[in-house]
Amino acid sequence: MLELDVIDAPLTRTGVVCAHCEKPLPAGAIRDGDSLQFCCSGCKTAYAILHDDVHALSQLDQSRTNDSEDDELIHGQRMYAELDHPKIRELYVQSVGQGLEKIRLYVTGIHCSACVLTIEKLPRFLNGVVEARANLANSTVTVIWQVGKTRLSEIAKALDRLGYPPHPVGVQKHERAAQTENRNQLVRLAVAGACAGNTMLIAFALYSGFFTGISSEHETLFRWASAILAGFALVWPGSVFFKGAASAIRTWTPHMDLPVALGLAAGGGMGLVNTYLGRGEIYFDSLTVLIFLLLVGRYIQFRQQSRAIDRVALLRNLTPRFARRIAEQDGAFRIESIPVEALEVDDVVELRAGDVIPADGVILAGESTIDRAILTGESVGVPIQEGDQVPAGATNLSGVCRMRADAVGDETRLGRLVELVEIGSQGKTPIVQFANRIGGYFVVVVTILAIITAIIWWPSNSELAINNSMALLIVACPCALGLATPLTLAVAQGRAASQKILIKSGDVLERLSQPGTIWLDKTGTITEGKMAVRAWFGDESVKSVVVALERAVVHPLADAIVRDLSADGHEKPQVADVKSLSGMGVTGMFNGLSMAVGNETLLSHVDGQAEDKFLKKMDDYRAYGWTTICVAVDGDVVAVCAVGDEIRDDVTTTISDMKNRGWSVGILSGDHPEVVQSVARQVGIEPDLARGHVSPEDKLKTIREHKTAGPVVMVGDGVNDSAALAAADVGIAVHGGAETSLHAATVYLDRHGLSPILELIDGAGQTLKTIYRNFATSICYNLAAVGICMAGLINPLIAAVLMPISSLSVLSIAMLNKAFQRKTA
Amino acid sequence: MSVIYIALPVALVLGFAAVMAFVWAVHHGQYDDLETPAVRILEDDPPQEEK
Repeated sequence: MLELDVIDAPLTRTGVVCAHCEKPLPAGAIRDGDSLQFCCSGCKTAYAILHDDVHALSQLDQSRTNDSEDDELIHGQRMYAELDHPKIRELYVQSVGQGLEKIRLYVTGIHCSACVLTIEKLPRFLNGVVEARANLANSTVTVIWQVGKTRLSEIAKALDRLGYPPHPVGVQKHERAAQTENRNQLVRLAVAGACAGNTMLIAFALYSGFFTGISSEHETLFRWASAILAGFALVWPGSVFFKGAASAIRTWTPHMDLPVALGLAAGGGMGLVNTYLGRGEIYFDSLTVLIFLLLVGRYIQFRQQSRAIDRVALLRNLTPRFARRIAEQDGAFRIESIPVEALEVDDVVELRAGDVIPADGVILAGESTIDRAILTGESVGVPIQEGDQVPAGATNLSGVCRMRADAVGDETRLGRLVELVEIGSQGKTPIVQFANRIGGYFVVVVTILAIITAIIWWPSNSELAINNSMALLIVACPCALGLATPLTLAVAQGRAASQKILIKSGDVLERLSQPGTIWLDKTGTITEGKMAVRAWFGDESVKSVVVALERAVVHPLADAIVRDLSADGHEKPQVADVKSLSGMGVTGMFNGLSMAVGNETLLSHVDGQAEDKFLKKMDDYRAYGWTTICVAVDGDVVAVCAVGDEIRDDVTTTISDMKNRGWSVGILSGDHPEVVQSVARQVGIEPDLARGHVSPEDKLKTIREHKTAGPVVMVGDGVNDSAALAAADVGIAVHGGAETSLHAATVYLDRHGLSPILELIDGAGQTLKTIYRNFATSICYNLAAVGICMAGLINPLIAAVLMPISSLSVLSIAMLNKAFQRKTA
Repeated sequence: MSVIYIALPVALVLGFAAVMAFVWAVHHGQYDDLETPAVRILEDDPPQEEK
């Protein structure tokens, strides 16, 4: 048994280490008072298993016997009842025969081998589970269980208890396609590699023969053997380039595949003819290596790209997708958890605080405040009551209500906004990558040079003329050129991903290399998207009383006051007779004085009055777009408090840095224009570029209008930004963005704040510089090769030496790319 | 040197076999996840059932 002396556990410079894996603890994972500290729940559980920690394991057992029919949280444990709904089976579960079923779950919190160990022990914890396989790379778990012996909700609960809240993952079309593509590329790579390796071995014999002599029958054998291998490489893995070239010709767009295919065709054709005739040069070794190297470059880039796409796609599954439907059964009402997909029109749903509204509908009973920021960009919560319309996708902030679903799924406003994303992405003009543009010129130049070579040599020797011009086509084949872009992009994308900037397409880096316009969403992007106390004017001593009063209220503004003002460390005063008045504020008694905290409506309600200095201050605050709250003691205002959406820390410096780099920065927000203007003033954006009251459709229109003048970047997080994100040259979804925005954007920032955008812009510039440098290098090699060819001095050995050298130099330049490198190494 | 007439085809056949083995492995998903199997070796054996 593994024995760990926890007291003597080594302390690293960063502080405490995990008792199980001995890695330094991430900030925030440290729990005061515990003698054993763990970096993740995997380590904690693994430690318990290894040490036969009776207490910890019995906790796991105990909660399992605690099940009841209630769908609610039991001791903070989600019950996952909605996962047993038939609709979930239909959408997510696969049958694998013999009464076994399989599901893929996205779990948060897998990050080390102990997590894998713990999760894969699931069959031991839960009877009926046959297998649980964790995938460390993309944080998914595949569970296979026996139908009848356990239920999906049980599995989900067990995983949750282990510390890994699961989210079902549908088998998405793109994932299947990506997997097939991955496998196909690997197979092509293997075939190309094997052909190249064997052809090189044979070439070794042929080159030796070239210098020391070889019997002609052996030479013929070797030439035929390499012809067969090269033929294989050309028709199987090499067909990729011919297909690419063919489609480039069809659509009449320049492409890197064109010169590659030309070189391959010339080399293959000439080699076969020469093998058949038994004289002249063959270039099969160079050709097969060329195919192999180009495929390697492409594969590496494909991997980086699909990893980023995968990670973003899985993040989208995090949104909980269940609704509490109130069902009538035998005259009694009960609440059942069902997946959102199973919700139908006219269903009655209960909304609790924190729930995402599952459908467009009407409130039947109850009062609450909802946050529509994700749909409209409004930063202030909207009060709702009986008879009000509520949109799907908004979040219920405070009270419990019941609503009737009037539109579900694609019919909702949310669903239509998602459709708008499709429309937005259709209008996008693909850019022809720099590499492909060069490829177009390249093919023309090389062909002309080959013709010139043929013309120069024709008068002296027609056969030599054809040989030399063919050789030119082969050696000019831009191997390094074709390798340069994918490799450089892959290195940049990989480094960006480790900085938590997920780039779904390599195009992004090229589009960002020229300054243009950046449009920022306000709520959730420039601001935190949550309320905070921004200012306090007047008597400081009543703060603690205000906190005590607001503690009794469920409202986003009250939450902000409690959170931000209680931090001052006052004693807790006793308040009595607390009354919460909807839409106004709160009243109560303190030390025999009547207190009122709320808006001006409340002030007139309690017949209170305010001195001019308070009124003036309130006007000032309102000019900033803040909500004002007055505090009145016995009817006299003694203090004014301003609550507003907090602007993120790094925004002002980031925006000025963007401007220094030549970008113009603007705001597109659905919020009130005055609020937008005040935020723009605070972060340093010109008033004419700060637009409020912009609908999702208008955002899309604005993006399209600005496309004529340089690249347009849209940064946002909400559903209302999604269409604009899709239509922009580069759409950037910020951390915590809505599901749709993740789908629509090409870049996702998995880190707080806007500073990653600067890194992205700088990284794009550096990456492009590296690409240019690579092009210059490889064109030098090509020029040298072409010169040798035109002089008629070429032989296959020179070609075979020149090519790997050029590829190696390109490779090292790509790796030395400084883009996205950590500043603190 | 006539052994080359046998050695070369044999070498190619061996190479071909290796490629086919790789293709088989790829199609059976052995290259789909390159990270997790590396940590899976740290797992304990299941506890021995009492006989």
